[in-house]
Amino acid sequence: MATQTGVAPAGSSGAHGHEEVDYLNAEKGWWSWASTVDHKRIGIMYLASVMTMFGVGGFFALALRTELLTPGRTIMGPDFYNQAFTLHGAVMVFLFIIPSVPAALGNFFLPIMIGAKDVAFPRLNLASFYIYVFGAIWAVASIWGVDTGWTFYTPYSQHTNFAAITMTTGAFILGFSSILTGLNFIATVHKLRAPGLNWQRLPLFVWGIYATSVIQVLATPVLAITLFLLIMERLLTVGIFNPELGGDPVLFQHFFWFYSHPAVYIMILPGMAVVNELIATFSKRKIFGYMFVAMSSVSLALLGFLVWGHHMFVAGMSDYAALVFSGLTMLVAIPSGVKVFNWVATLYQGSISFESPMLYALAFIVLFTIGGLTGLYLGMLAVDVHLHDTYFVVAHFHYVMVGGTVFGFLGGLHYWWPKMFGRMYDERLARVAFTLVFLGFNMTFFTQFILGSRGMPRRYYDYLPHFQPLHAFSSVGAYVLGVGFLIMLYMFITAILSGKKAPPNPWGSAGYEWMTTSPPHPHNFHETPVMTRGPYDYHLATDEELSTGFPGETESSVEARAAETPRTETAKAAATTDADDADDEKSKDDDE
Amino acid sequence: MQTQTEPSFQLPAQLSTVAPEIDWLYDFISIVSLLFFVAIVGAMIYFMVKYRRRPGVKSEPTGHHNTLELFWTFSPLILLFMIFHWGFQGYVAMSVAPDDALNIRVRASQWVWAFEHPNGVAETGEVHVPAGRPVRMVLSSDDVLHSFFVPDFRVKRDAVPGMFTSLWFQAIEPEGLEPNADHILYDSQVFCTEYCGTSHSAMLATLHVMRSEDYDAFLAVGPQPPEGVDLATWGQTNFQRIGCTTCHSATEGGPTTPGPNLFGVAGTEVALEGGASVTADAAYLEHSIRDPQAQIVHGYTGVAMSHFRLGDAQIQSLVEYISSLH
Repeated sequence: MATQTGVAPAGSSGAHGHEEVDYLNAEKGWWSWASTVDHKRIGIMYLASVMTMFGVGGFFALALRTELLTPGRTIMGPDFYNQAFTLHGAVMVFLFIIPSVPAALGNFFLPIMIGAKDVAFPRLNLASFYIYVFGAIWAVASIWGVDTGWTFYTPYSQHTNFAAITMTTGAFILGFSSILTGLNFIATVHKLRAPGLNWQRLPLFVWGIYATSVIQVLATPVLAITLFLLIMERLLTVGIFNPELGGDPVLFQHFFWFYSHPAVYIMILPGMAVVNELIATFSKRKIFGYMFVAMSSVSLALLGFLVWGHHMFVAGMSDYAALVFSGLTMLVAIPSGVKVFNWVATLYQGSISFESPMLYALAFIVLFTIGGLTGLYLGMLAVDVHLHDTYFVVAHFHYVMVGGTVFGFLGGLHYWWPKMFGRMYDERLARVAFTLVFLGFNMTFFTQFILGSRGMPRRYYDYLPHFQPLHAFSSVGAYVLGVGFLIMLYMFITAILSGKKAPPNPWGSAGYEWMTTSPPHPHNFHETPVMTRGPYDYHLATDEELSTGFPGETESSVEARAAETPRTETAKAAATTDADDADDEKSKDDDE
Repeated sequence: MQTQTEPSFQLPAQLSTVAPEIDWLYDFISIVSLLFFVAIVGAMIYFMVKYRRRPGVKSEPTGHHNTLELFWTFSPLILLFMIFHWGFQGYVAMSVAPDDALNIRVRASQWVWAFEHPNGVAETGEVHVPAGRPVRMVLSSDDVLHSFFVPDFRVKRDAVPGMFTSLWFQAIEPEGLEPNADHILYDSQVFCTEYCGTSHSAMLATLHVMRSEDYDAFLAVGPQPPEGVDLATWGQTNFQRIGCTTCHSATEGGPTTPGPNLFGVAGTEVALEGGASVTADAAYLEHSIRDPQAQIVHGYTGVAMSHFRLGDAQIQSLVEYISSLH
């Protein structure tokens, strides 16, 4: 049977009348969530946490943009402004972007996509989540009053109020969550792949999360060491970074970026990983140059460790060091380019449909291309001297992190939403939200490239009057972006409350994660699946697996397909033997 | 290369010798980026239209094309090397000042730029520099990181506590431009671009570019009040420019600030820390500007005044101005 369908029919349970059992309703009560070791429930809990943090960070972003509508005081004083941009940066980086794709979507889908029952160390996984929650509460509680920026540069962070130290302790704690999750995923990918799932068949999402995990495990300890030294210096007045005690402030920058530059790849690689899945599914075609794309993730992960100095070209570093770092930085363009070229090549001779997840993926290509190309300006030494620490850097960073990671994350969220919650969202609202988010994002941040090249420094509470028109335009863009996110929030909430029931494979994907029920069974699959084809082999997948789709995914066609799917499932189930039935019953017993 | 003395849509005016070269590199990357962007997004949109899902048309299985893969993996290296090479050339040229450069010391502190010319003439919040001569700014910081940025000159360097850093530039003298009554050709804005606390965005300074001979004349006498401006009015200008307003109000019932409100102080009896008191006459005011920590007004301990570097005439102007606040 496995030879016919490519994957053992875990979804066939639909025919046996016990499709009601899924990971959401298998157990009830808050304690069943708080004590769960199910990777799917942990993923959902991460999702709720990171979305809350995204709301907090976004709220402060809007407050900042409102302050910048006019020169001088608009709604807040300079000290509050400095705290607000610190809070925005630190919350978005440490509490939202870093855990967004790997911890939320990765936890949910990595085991399913490799045909495993759970991650390698389910209890450790739950521990990572609690460490994250503890670190997040610690950080948010102590962040009020921190005004150092998310970079905590010395000696300012040693002069300013003590909250900077409690905040860094929060980041220190969060680091452990990151390390343990990374370790767990590496072990899972190595040891728990289903039979037949060799490295050449590994979904590119898994490749991306795997590369990310490697960086997390190797780089995060350096952050922990740095923050620990910072705390020790403050508490015991040991001279490490503070020149008054004989320390070197530039050393802190080296340490900080030795983590934080790889961290940028911790943030972007998962976004790229999601986009691979979206493009393959919605153009019904295997990603072009699969191995090149997989290896580009790994080489980005490695190169990411060698370029930290490009944050410090004007910081008082040796000119020879600048030479080396600039050269290595240029190399980053190679794997980034390889990915973009291969994504575009995948569209060639595809069968492309434009549901909302695909819109995010295509927007990702456009925005990441802009983000990547503007990196050339900053990697080029002589030009960086002018652009360093201006709004140009702010714009570049947001194009990569928001236009890249956040768009990838949102695309993945839309794409996997039916699988995670078993319900569809309103596609029309999704498109409205997408349009506003795309438009608002470009209005906000493209403007900032021009502000920066004209010489507007970053982290400025006040500015010279001639910068006002661009600042005001950027702020209006931020409001458009905000409205887009509010519509999206409304859309997702209504989807949970009253969305249509989702079929197992609404997008007609050949990916492994769609070969189970929506939402998945607590054990993901009734029996261990055997992979006989790759996750993008549309020419090898049967129509039953793909349930033929047609463009302009209208609601009626989704409905029609939803009505149709159980029938094909029944047909498939009818062909199975009684032994299968017995197996299914048995696994049901096991669950109870 | 034609020098642009007016700002363009994207970049500020080119008022130093390196600016046209930097902008040429900027434009070069812009063209390369635009070409890549149009090619990538153009191909993407073309495929999106051409291969949109249609009834009865299936996707073609993905083939292999190693030559193509290797081509687009390695061919950008040539462009990247060019960008790297030119960028580094420009960077080295900007790092190594000519031997005959004029040295000006720059002391950064929260949130003031103080300058000292080779002969000891000092200025704060503004600095006069000659056009047509290389000038090296030797930077240091008294407290936290700062960064000296002149957009018109395309130069920037961090001021790091505990070490000296430097940058250099040569301001140009645009053809046909005549100096104003104060012998100044044009002003360029200085920003602090490394975050340094509450008033980071107010840590500004003005570069006054003069003809070389006018600069030498300036050095001989130091900062003087402009033609036809009395000392108290010049004092008010200095008060604003130096940044005294960051910590001192000068109006009746002005906002509470880290330093005492200076309105109506002159001539009154001032209670000092430690129980003594003093009449705030001109001598006391001058002493308090030159040595702020010597006689601290009651209730203001623990607040150190920033490190100002001022000429005698400027200090007199400030005393006159504060005395006139009634």
